[in-house]
Amino acid sequence: MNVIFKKQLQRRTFLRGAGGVVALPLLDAMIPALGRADTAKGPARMAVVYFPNGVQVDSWYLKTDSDIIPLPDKLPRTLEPLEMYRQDISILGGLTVNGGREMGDGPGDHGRAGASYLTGAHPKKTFGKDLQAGVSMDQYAARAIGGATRFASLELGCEEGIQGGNCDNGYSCAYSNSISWRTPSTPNPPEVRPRAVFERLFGSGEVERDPVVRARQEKYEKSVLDSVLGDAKRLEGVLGATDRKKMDEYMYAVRDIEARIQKTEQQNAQIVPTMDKPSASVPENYNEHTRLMFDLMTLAFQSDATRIVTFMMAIEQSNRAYREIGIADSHHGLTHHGGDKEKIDKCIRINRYQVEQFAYFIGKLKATKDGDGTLFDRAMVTYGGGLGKDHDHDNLPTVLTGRGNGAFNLGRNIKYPKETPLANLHVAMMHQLGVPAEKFADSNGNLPYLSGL
Amino acid sequence: MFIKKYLSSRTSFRPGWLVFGILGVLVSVGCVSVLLGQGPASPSRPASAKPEPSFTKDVQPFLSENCYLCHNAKLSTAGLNLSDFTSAESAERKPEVWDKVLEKLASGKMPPAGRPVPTKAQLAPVTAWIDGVLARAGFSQEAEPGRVTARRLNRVEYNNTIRDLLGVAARPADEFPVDDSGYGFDNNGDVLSVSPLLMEKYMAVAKNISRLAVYGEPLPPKPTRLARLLNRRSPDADDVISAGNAGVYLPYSLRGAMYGKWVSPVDAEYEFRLRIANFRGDTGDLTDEQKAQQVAERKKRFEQYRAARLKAAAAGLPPPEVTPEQLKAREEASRKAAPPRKLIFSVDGKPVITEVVEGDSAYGYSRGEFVTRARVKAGEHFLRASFPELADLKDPRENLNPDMRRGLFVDYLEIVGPYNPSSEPPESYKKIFVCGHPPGKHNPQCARTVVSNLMERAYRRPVTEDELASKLKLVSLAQREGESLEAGVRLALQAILASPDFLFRVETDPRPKAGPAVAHFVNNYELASRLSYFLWASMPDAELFRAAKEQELRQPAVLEAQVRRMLADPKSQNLVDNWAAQWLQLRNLGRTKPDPKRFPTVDDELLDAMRTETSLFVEAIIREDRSILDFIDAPFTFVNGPLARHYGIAGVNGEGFQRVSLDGEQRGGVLTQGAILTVSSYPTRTSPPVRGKWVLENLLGTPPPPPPANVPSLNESNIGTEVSLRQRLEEHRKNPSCSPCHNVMDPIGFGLETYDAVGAYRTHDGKFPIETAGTLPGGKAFNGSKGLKEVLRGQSDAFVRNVTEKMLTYSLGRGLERFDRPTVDAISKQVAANDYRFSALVMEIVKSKPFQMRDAEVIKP
Repeated sequence: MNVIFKKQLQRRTFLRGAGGVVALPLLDAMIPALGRADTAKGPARMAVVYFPNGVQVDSWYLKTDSDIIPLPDKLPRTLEPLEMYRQDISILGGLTVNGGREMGDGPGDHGRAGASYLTGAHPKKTFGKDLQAGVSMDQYAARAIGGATRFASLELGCEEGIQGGNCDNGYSCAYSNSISWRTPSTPNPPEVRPRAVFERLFGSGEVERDPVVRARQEKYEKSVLDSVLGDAKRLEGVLGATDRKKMDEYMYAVRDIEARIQKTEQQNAQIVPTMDKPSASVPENYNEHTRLMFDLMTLAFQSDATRIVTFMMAIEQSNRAYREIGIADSHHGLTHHGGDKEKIDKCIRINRYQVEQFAYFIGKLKATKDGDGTLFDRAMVTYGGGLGKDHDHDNLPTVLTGRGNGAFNLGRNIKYPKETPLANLHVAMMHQLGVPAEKFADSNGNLPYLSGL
Repeated sequence: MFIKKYLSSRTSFRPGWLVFGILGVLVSVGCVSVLLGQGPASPSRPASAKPEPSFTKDVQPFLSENCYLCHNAKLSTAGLNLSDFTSAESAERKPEVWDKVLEKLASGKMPPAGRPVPTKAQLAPVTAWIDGVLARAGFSQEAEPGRVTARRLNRVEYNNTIRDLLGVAARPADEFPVDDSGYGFDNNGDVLSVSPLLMEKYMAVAKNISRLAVYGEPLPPKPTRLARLLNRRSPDADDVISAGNAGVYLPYSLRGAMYGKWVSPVDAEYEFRLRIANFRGDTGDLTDEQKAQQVAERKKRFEQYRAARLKAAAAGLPPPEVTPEQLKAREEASRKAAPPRKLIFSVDGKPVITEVVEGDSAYGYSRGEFVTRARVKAGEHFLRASFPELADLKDPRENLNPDMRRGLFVDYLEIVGPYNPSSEPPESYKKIFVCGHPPGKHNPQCARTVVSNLMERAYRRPVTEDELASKLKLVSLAQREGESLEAGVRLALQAILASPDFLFRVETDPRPKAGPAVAHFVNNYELASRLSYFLWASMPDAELFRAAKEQELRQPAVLEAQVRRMLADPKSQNLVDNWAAQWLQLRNLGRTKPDPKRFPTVDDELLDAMRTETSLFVEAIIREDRSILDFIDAPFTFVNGPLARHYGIAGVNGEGFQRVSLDGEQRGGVLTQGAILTVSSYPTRTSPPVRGKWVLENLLGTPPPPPPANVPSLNESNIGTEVSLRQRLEEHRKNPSCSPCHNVMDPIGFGLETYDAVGAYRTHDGKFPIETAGTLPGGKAFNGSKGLKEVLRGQSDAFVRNVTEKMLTYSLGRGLERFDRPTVDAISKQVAANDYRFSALVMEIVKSKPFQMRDAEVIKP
């Protein structure tokens, strides 16, 4: 254990410093130590579902003084749509992302909330060059176990990121557009188009059936990759440091594709989707859009295309108007309600409407067979956001669902002590995923009550 | 190599600059005292004989008068507290603070809009004192070229470059993830990154586009339905999409129009099938009461019919039938009740279907489809089907039925084809196979000619023998596999399109054998790319490549002629669509749509019309080489019938845009254009602070600092009914932590309060008359948008500087740094000296040090 722990620290230090491309082999070498993916139970899957703009805490949390109680029949108003699944979820209170706090940087809680949620980092206040957050938990896990699947991870969402440098009081839009960060300076923007996700998973064209032609095509693909990697290497030799960083990104991306091609060859199996190709347009109706995306996530898990997904119900600081439920105001604008009852009510209705969408995903996981159980038995899913009450970064709304291969006992309302790092939950999930992480970001210990009686 | 010719150290660089023949002022750039003379508001420098200014005698009183109001210990606006500096010693310790103060003062950005502008005489000793502090602290005042990071092509540039490189019609980058932007623009080298997702798309597109370019668009064995275009059915859009409905949804038009862009894959004939819904019949041109009455009658008729049915059923009889005569009579009545309307379907503005639609009372599409065939070139086309007379409705809701569905609208448009596709090799084939042989008849030398030509154009520079060999290898590979030379070229092209040399605009440093790395002129090819991506957002054309090859581009006369040629080229529309649209935040229009309940006459089509207005306006400034001060106020704009009516401009009819003269009372300049007024409003109401912020940020370059933490939000209850927005904001402003910024922002916004949240003119908000009078801090009073524009004109130095900064940022693809200030100073000054002409701005940027040069970076061996 100790050895691994040390390696972790070294690697993380390295990631912070240099973008982390070269760290890949190191991590690969570490997998056998703790790999749990291929146990008799079948691989665990992880999804992090994020929603923006915080919640009205009184309508989210149960009123109780106990650390842990079973969930009652009746849930608070925002979570009502999950009542039918109350045995399948736990509500976790008290979790904190310290990195999202002000720390002398002034306003900008939305930018910090998005970028700190999975990284634990305190993002640097900038809206131009020198983006700096941290490697996010999903990407950390993806590097460790992503090699087992065609896609190390998927990043999805229901709202296109905002273009324009300054989104939140001097924080780049990149901070609120993405919760997933491949390196401290490279966000993974979520894909919002269902069709594009589908084509990524299953290809856009027809599959070549003639083995000779197919072999030739594969040979061509490899030569093209070799050729462009050669170009990149030659360029690296003549470029300065900042330009070289761009070339590193490029080479990382090319190698990623290379690895995927190899993977596909190894699997040597035709993957057949179980849903129709979605239409080319992005649905404007929220309900329809989220459902398609949840269907695709389920499909990605089911076909073992990936085991790690992050999903943003909307970007942080989202200004989306939820006309589907008769709310024409901007969501973010409403959260600055200044105590206005009507606005608070609209905030709750939006939160609740999003929870309603999420309930569909739970149902879908429960209904999808995976080996001798269901995807629900394998999956670990969190539904939460990086803002709590009034742009605070503590007591973050968090719902945990999925049994994580038996790791979690659900149906509980758990109140953790103030300032318990959300990263503790991330460590627990990564552990179950087979990622040898004893510590991540500001994690400081185990999270009790997740399992056991 | 020619690079060496221009390689020069910092000291030897200045003569080169002089040869270049511009900005004589810059010669003395190293001299701190002269530099500040370029600050717009600053005086001629004091002669050296004058005594050294003193902090306590000269500077402190100035600060007290002009700055302490906000920058004091309590408010510390923007994190700056100047009142703490009580002695020369304490002030001297913070040169970085004075550096910023100097920039704000010299540029006219501070004191903020509305505060009294200090006279040159007042300013002189202060700036002189700061000069001294900075000189003693070793702050350089020399302009430096800076170092632009290798820029990946953004989506627009990718599409344009593919089009110009290969002559293919496709727009592959539309499928790429949205580009991040920095410093307000999405061409910033530092923030444009390559994610694995994007790389996958690059790979897929390289394969598809190379096929398409070599073999042409794969044609279906027989004509098929290529597109089914639908528009949104309501402004709220939640009834828009039902599962499995494949199609692209176009904007919602109250007038029932359908319009959008379509890319035709190949030169051919296409069949356009168009269906309309025509439910006007007996509710045609009636008043609301008459319509309601009609609806009641229809309901009554239906009830009677239902009763008769029930009665018949109870009696065991077959249901009563409507006789053919009855039907016919009803149809005839419907036909007469609604006026015939013209329907026009056009491709790129050229009508291909013109029909007259008579009255009808069914959504049942009794007319069937209108079908026509038209020959269309490969590429992007603008399609529009509409009822032009409806553009002149007094209120577009006249086209709405009582159930809120539209009376006349285009239901769908299908495109079927291609018929009789051109048998010529595609344009792209000719662009690739430059050896000039027909397909299949190439000689062995062709591979070399073809691939090296492709590479040089794709990489935008000459290529080395090694580079060429690496791609020729792929041609041989395909040939070894028994494939044709064309197939080999296709494979090489695939690799070229996925290569970092294509995807990135790379600039390399000349590498001196010995000695320190130095700033250097970029080479002629790099300069050609800088020009073309700045003005066209695309690769250089043949003429630019030629000039680069001949090493002519650094000759001032050649450079100027090239820039003028490029500005005159239609491709310079990219300056409007990319630079101006991002600067003015036009791209955010429609992102959060105006609330259709509050603004029922504002549909997607009107928002598009607003966008068009501002685009045409910017285009006019470019094409007519007008003064950039026209952005603040100009005696003309562009409107079509619906937008004119929205604005209350009389005498403009029809769907087409026309230029109109303005008297300057209500409209003139971007601030009074619907797009800007809407983008700076909430969906439900105006916000004077948001508009004020928009003006400060985008026109004056002085964004207010973010609000301090935990400020109470505006109490919005009862606004418009019991209390006016203005009163509420004034209450709000009493909070001392809000007032310093809101005292500037709010009055500016009040000046624009005669325009509602969608830019329509108004005199009342709710039941309250609009008060447009504003008093800026310092007591300067103004009234309405006219007054506001006068205030802005009084700040023209700050405005010109700001436009310069925005354009320089865009042209370089990097954020501006401290060392760019002298460059911005000099450009702004030259622009002012040239009657503020747009071309002067472009020309000065193109000639500037950062555009011509690149700083060195130490290269690791």
